[in-house]
Amino acid sequence: MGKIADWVEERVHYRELVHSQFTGYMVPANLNVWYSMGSVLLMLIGIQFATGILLLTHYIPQTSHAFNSVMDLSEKIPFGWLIRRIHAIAANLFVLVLMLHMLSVLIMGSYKKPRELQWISGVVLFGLGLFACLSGYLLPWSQLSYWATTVATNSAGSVPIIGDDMVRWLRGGDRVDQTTLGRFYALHVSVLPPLFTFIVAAHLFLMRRVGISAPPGIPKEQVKKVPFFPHFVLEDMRASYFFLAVLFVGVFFVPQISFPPDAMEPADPLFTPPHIKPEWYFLANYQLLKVVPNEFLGIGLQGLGGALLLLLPFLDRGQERRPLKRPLFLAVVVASLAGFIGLTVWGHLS
Amino acid sequence: MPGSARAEGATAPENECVRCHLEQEEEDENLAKPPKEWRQSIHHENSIMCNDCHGGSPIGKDEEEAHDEEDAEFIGAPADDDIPGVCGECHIAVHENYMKSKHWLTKKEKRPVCTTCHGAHLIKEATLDLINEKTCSECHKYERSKRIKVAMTATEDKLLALENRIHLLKSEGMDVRSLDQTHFAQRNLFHRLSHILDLDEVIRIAETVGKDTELLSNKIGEQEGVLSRRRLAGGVLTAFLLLGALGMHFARKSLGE
Repeated sequence: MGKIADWVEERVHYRELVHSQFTGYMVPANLNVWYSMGSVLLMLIGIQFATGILLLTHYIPQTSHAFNSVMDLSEKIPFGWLIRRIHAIAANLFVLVLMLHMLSVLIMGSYKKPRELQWISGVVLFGLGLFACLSGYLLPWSQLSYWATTVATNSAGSVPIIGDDMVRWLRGGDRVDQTTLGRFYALHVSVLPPLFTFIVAAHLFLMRRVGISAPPGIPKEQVKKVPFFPHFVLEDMRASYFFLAVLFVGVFFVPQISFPPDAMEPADPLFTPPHIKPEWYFLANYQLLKVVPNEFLGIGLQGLGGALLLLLPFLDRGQERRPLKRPLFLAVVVASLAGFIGLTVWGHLS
Repeated sequence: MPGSARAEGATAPENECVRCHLEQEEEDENLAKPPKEWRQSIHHENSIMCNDCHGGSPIGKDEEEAHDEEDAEFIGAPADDDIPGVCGECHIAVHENYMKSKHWLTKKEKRPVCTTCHGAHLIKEATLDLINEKTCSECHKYERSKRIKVAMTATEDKLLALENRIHLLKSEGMDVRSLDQTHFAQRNLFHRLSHILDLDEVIRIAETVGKDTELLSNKIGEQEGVLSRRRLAGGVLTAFLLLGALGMHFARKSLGE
């Protein structure tokens, strides 16, 4: 082994790379569990890519075959059911962990100068993640996926004047059909993954160039440092193991999260199942559109919320990062979070 | 909003027939009664619309166009003797058995048609409760109907129990397509009996279906076994992962700062 390692070292000089990127790369010693969310997200992206490729080997992107192809994959291919469930439930977990990651960045003020680009790339990844979920949701062509996509794409119709055109543009026609499936499939498997990879790479590159922001409270010069490997890698692995356990609890014990009875029926455009709703991460938006009397106002509020989130580092330029020293900002974050959770629960129960 | 992309919405399907009839409730209550009852029916649940039975155009721009007998093939309320034919367009096997039964072969003035027992618009999912003393004794003695009901009840209960087990598997994310198909075929064969009205035939087929349900029960049992084994594997895997997390935690603590 040693000789092989030396042979590779002579040609690649990897030991220097390992030292500079792992053992010699020093990070703040007081990084808390929230700092491991990024690694958990990387793990989940890896899981999505791997299971997605396996699903692709059997999936047929045609309305007449799509449903049977995924059901046959679950029934006839060894561990096909497991691959499909992991892909579907890990998508939910990805959105949840991404939300936690962004929340921790918000509260600890880590989006502030000089990390504006990191924040923007994170918000873009959040948007892309939701779009990947939406586009992937349609692919099984089940009653649930068909009607949830119909409801979700309907929301764009709230925009005045161009609303109906936007809905047609999203669907490729008046209704969700083969055209919609074709374009969602193309986006989901050939556009979003490389885009995701590129922006994640940019996000990580920026993190390495600017450095990890230590939790607020201790002056920079007083923060102790520890090597990234093994210290922080062990912390990342602890969080990854925990979230993998959460994933498998979902896969083995509560698969109904992603596979309620309507997900086990083929799409029927002539029969609307009762109480169909979008996935949990779109429920707040869905409920807001129902609650606000004017649909345009509802869409406008959501657009404004998204724009504020994206441009936050340029709007909040103060140096202070400690949350308790920013009571107004903290109040806004807590109120927004309560609003999001409240609307989601309301949407679920209504 | 016909033709609009947003019309493909999440509400239960309704059409111009329903809208127009309901709008006239204040002028004539009888016009609004059918759609109001239909909304609570199994037909509504399965998107069987007014025009599927009565003909007419559900997108007609006015009453005349909607009720056009030639272009829209509007038949209105069918005559009693035509009702089995209208229902039989979809319920083919039931119609076939009914046409051979005493219910149809009896004197015309005594003849019960589909709506006599099932109702016209407030039609619920058919169960054995439809065979009851109150309904049956309106035309004849209940004794024979009761014997048919008794002969069918045990198998019907088995079929219902199997349906619940299949539903439970489905709600656990299991693929139950083949179980569903077998159950559907058995249930259909069995439900046709209620229209044969031949006690010997009812007993014979009920026994056959009863035996078939045993086979189906075994297949469901296999799937339930698969589910249990998966859960056991999932529990072990989850426990290992949590132990792994704990191991990483202690390994990190041992390194200090």
